[in-house]
Amino acid sequence: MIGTLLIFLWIILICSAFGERICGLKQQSIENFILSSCVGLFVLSYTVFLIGVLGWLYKWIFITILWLSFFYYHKEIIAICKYFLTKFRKINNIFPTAFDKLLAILYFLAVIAALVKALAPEIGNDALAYHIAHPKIFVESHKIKAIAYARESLWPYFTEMLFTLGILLRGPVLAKLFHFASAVLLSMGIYAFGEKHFMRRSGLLAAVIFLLTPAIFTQAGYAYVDITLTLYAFMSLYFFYTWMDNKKLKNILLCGIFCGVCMSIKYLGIFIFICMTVLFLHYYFAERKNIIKAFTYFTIMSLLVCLPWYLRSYILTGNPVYPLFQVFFKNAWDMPIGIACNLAKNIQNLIFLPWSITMYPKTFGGEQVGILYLMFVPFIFLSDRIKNFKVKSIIVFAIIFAVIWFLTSQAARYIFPILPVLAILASLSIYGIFRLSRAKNFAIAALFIALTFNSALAFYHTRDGLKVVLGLESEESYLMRKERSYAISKYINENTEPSAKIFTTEPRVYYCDRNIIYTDGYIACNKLSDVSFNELTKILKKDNFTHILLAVERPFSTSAKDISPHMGRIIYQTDFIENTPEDRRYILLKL
Amino acid sequence: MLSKREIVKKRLAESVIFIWIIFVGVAYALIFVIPKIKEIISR
Repeated sequence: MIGTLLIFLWIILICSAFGERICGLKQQSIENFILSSCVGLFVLSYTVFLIGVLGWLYKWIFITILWLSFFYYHKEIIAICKYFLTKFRKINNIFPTAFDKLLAILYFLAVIAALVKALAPEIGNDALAYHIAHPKIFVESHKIKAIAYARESLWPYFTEMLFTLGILLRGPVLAKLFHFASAVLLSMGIYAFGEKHFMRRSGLLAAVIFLLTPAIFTQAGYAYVDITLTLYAFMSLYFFYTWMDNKKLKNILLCGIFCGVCMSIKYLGIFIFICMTVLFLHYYFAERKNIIKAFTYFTIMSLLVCLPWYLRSYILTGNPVYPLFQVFFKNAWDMPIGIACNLAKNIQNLIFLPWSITMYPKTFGGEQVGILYLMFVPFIFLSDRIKNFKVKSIIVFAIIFAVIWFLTSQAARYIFPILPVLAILASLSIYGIFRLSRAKNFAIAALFIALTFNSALAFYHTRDGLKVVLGLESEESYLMRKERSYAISKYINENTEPSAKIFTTEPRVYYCDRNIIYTDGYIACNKLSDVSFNELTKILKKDNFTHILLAVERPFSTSAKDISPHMGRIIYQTDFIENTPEDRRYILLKL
Repeated sequence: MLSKREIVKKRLAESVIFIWIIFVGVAYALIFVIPKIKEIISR
């Protein structure tokens, strides 16, 4: 664990030093550290992509690049370390009041909780299905390539490139730490934003509100990509406002680059581009200033940065967003885009959205945004900054994104990109309430009750991971308890030939070391949705599949008696796994 | 020195804050927190 953490810090320092040099930053500050780290991670991700596409994904190549960079940028690295040590020594000056100290303690508790989760073995569904499962395949084949029958392998994979590096150098835990780093960098960015554009204390409070959002600290411990998307969306916004202040070309280029990175992380990033375009228009109509040149630079940079991903997909399949949009592309799959919208798309549901997403998180996929946004953001009119154009502008950004989100995929984690700005609005509202003497103590009490509840949730969610991180439980025992697919994957790894080709209805394939293909992709790609299971087994045999792994969920009760002998021979089956949230059993068939 | 109108506005804002925070807090406790705690205890 310590070794992985040290390698992670080493890579972050190299990225930051590199970013500092190419951005020409001379002074050390929190803002410069975040900017340089984001630029460094951006270059690192594209370096892995380029080297991977060329088929040179070997550990020694990256170790060499990193060591050379380390020696080349050692002065910057030393300066960064000295800056943070000095900051640490003057920690009392950074948090002067008891209120600030309490916020700082809660902030560090949330960081520790998320770190513990990040250091434990991966158990996140999408991470095990593709976020780290595909990087594992890239590393094994030393090449970044399209994976047969995988829906996602030609999607924009910016964060997955960092995961690939993590798996190549050390393993999945290092990969997870890159997503954890996004959460920490983002909270520091929120602090710097508040300090720069409003007041330092509002930045600190906003950073704490954001990091103590249950959905954020929970996801920061998984190898997902949503917080990285949120980080780069926020950085794009950050440099939009910096450009508004000083009109320097460099800032609008950075705004465009970071927006382009959003579109390189996942398709949802296109919504960020739309929202940023609306912000340019809002700025134009509010201030009546010429924005055409700046908007052109912004658009060119955004498109240039994300171009490699869409171009790759277009060259390989003729569809830049393969396998989506059957309406436009013949080779697209017959599949819905995004997840099902749980709320009907009407004005009433849109108005009550903040209430619904706070009170009924299960309707939106289960991630909890917590109570603080609903409790405090409505009082933004009390803030003395309400007439500030930036405040109006971030309200516009939040509303436009929320409306697009409401009309497309209503999953709570897809709304993360507006949480940093909502945290800033909540923080400004709270300082607005503090100006009302009678309400101040009441608001402080409500704020700390909510933050303490969120902290308790954070530690509740990390309690299992803590045992593994402290060495009180083995990784194997943890995975046996917590990860439904681990035991069956272990059985397959130990009892099948390395050349086995397995067809599976279990999307979590990371722990299985065989050529394992998930049902949905195979069926959609070969247009087999109307074929019976009996017919399917014949097709699979012809296609050299050796096994079928059936994951059977309650109330569906496919059992041994439903499998006729000519389909295949049951070689292993489990009972329903009751101690994981997902209640399912496995049947392994030999064809 | 605040005018009478400003004092009334301030008191009104304070009342709205009290009512809203209590309303949201109680609703959150009843709809989300208590069922969540029950769920945790029952595991």
